[in-house]
Amino acid sequence: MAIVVRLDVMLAERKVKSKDLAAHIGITEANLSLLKSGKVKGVRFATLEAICDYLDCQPGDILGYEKHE
Amino acid sequence: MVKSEKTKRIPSLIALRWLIYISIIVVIVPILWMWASPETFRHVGGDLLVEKYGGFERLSWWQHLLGLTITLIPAVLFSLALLCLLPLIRLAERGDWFNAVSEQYCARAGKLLLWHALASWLSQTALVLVMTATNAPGKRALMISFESGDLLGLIPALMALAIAHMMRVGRAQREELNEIV
Repeated sequence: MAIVVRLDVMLAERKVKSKDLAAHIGITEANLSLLKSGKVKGVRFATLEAICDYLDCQPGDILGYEKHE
Repeated sequence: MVKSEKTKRIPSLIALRWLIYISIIVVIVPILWMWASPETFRHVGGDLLVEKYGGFERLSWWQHLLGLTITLIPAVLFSLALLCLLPLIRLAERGDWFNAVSEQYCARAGKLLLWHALASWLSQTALVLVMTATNAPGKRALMISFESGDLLGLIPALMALAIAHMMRVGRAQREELNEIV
């Protein structure tokens, strides 16, 4: 996948547990796990906003684009 | 609130199910009766196409059999289309409308209704052809008719196919939304 999710890196940097983030965003841990592994088709702006708010970061810190040759 | 909606819905679905059973009987039985006992059917059947082409008495056994088959085909197709509605009713009772199975049954009903419209249009032509097949050359007949009723038969078929398409699109959208967190 060309879009890379770096949420697990951000969680480790901020020393935040997945469980706490999931509770703050209002999604299940299972869905957060899917998001971390990049196995979802999309992310709602509301979800992204809540993640950025909790981790005090920018969307670009969580999502990245890698060009495939 | 939800409970009262469900209790309202179930009797109407039961009524619909019975309507389907009765419709199948009403569609099939008169045809069987007409070919099994034309003399008793004449009193209730009104103007019969077979009577216009010499009546039932002069027909040979194979004309009887072929005539019955030709008139039965549209009725059977219509009945099969109605039978496709039964699983839909079952799913609706469970509150499970938009899934792949209901979409398949709806599309199948639409296709069967399309075939029914085509078969009903062709059945009169084929029936007259069979009825006059044993006539002397020059006295055989070929009848082709086109009525507004033939076109009206297409409407439920196209509606069922359109509903099946909407269900497919709706299901795809829901599945896509389920993968967005």
